[in-house]
Amino acid sequence: MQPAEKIREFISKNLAVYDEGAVFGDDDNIFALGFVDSPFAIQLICFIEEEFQIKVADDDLDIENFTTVNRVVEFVRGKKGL
Amino acid sequence: MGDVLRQEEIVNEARRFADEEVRPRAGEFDEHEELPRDIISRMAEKRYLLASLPEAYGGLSLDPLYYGYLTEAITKACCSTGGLITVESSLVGEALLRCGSRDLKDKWLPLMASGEKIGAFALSEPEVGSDAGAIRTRYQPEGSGFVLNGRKKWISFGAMADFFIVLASCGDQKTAFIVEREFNGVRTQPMKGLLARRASHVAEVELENVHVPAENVIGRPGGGFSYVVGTALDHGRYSIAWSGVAVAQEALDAMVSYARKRRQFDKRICEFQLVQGIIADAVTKTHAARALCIRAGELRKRGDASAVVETTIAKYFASKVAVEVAADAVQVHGGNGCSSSYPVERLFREAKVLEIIEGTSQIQQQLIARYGLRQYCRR
Repeated sequence: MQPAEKIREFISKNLAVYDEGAVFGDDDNIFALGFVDSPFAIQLICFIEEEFQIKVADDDLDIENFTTVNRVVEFVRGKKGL
Repeated sequence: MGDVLRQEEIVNEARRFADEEVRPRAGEFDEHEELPRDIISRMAEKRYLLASLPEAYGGLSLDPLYYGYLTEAITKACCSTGGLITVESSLVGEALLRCGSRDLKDKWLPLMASGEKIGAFALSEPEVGSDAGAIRTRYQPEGSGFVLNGRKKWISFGAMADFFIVLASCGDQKTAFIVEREFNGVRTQPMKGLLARRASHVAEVELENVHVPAENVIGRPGGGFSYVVGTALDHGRYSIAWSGVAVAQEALDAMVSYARKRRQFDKRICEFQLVQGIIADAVTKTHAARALCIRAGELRKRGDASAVVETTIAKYFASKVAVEVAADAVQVHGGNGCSSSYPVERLFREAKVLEIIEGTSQIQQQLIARYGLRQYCRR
């Protein structure tokens, strides 16, 4: 599974909305749309570190790096030097 | 295996310390509304203040599970003493470790570990409790730094803290700062007459045109807020979950010891089946709460993302159990349970606070319900 798919699946499993029609695109801001709750910010960091075996440093902890699927993918690729 | 043994020894020593040096004075701390410096110094000597943080910073490098056991051991003897570990390790220490710059970590963490500097986490305000995003304390960029104005409330160890992690907003942006007590414009007012945590030096903190240098920002200005607050509250909830187990176990110990000695109708009251029913429920609930905490601890140790929600579940349940078991312990003590001559009176008060701090039970319920609604839907 590609990083984008893994990230999309993780977000989908942790949506804070239960509307069957709720969908998000890879450039949608999941925090601004209210699709995830506040603890999700920390959960997503745990997931990224565990799944992709990377360390998210204090400098990286900017919510803007993690608001959309594409930004998370970009972040992971940057960290892994891909 | 070597590290497990090392951690077991630390926790066993913490239990001895709690039994010999903390529990005998817990009533005195509560009555005088003060955690004396000598106890804080002793905890610093034993490196309990930053127990979960790396040894390189003066901590004990306890893994989450053993940090939980240590929290239980100390909190069982005295909630305010355990509360100091929660504030230093879980709230301030972990937030700095995760989100702070190398310079901030190198400067503050060793000072905290040695007890030379006490930190406090200043999030709540007179009008802001659960709705952390609505903080009214303001910051404005000025020169190379920032100016802060506002008022914080319910800040544990705020009356004695040497520095505060202050959460403030500027328009839509929110940022965390280290504010030192000695900065001009910082004033604290101790809060007395509290239901519980009376020895926790709880205070209001007023900030009036406080100039904070840019290097005291924790995380990215604007973008780091969610992580500072999220890290602190996640670790704080874990610590409070274990505090719930601690209060429940202490109340259970007191309930059983009393029931085996107290005689009524020419029998020890533990021989009455209705009292046995209370004891059975207390044992079951306490064991269940501990099991949830252990599960959360194991997941945290593995760095599993589901640890966040499992910690929430443990905090919600363990604090509820603490309230129920402490209330039942008072019931078994009868009139004696309503007197400060018996520790269950204090435990009854202390338990209630656990359902409020680090996120009320109602906030935890919302988070758990959302998890349940997505996790257990048959499709």
